[in-house]
Amino acid sequence: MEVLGLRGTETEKEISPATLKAFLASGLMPSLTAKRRGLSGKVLPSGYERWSVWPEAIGEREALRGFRFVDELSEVRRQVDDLDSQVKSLVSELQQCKKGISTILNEFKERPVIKQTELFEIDETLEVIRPIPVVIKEYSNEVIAAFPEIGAFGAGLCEAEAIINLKKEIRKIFFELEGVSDNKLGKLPLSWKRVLLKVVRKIGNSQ
Amino acid sequence: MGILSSFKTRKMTRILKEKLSLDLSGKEPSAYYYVDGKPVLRVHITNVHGSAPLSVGAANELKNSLGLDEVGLSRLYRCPMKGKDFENHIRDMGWV
Repeated sequence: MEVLGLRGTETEKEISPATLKAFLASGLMPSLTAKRRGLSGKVLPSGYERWSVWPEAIGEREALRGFRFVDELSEVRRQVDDLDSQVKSLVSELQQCKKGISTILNEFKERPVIKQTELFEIDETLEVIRPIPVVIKEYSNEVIAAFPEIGAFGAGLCEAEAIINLKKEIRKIFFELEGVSDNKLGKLPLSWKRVLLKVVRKIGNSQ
Repeated sequence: MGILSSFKTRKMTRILKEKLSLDLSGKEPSAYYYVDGKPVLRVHITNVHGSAPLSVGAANELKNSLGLDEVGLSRLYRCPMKGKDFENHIRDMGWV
């Protein structure tokens, strides 16, 4: 029957009287009349889907398609809403990550690169008896050279400048403590004095 | 930024002078903090850039020399810690 071109809605006007006659002969007439009387709610005869070429049926089919389309649209909308909430959640997490990275970067800026070296010379007034252990702390924009055992440090824009300033500090502390009797010093300064006397010896005047 | 990068050199010097009665003067000031008539610690303030903010490295060394952590230094700088509180802290540390 497909050869007759009767499946689509646009082809119904192509039904010829001869074809109709053939339909009537094959017993399709009762269902036709039932449809035309508006009894579409009844059980449809077999072959309805194949031959449904009447306006009411076309309307139902389009309505069904419409409903299906609305359902599909609702589903798409629900999926888009889900995606939207997921994207918002991701954006929020990314912002937290950004804050975390910023915090870590700031902490890194405040954490120096640390290395160690030794001092073998102070100046013409002090002779180094034992190499003085020095901690070099390289920050992003300055260098600190420290002799932690006596709490002395020197700062500079480069390592050399920091070490020169540390030597000045060691010399200064030595001559500050050298002339003070032990019982007049607190625990830490007394300890510094002892350490200094072990690593340096006076060979010149403090002036 | 972190706590250590939030200090101003001039204010820190003034705070230490006032609260700890330190004689800090000159370009690279240093002074001993006395408790019971004895020097118990030495404070040295330096700033390689000579700028208003105290550098992180100098602030870190200052923190160590005062026996404080970052929060403690901040409390000293921002006033909640008085001179007597600091003295008690030093006594608690066993530095006297």
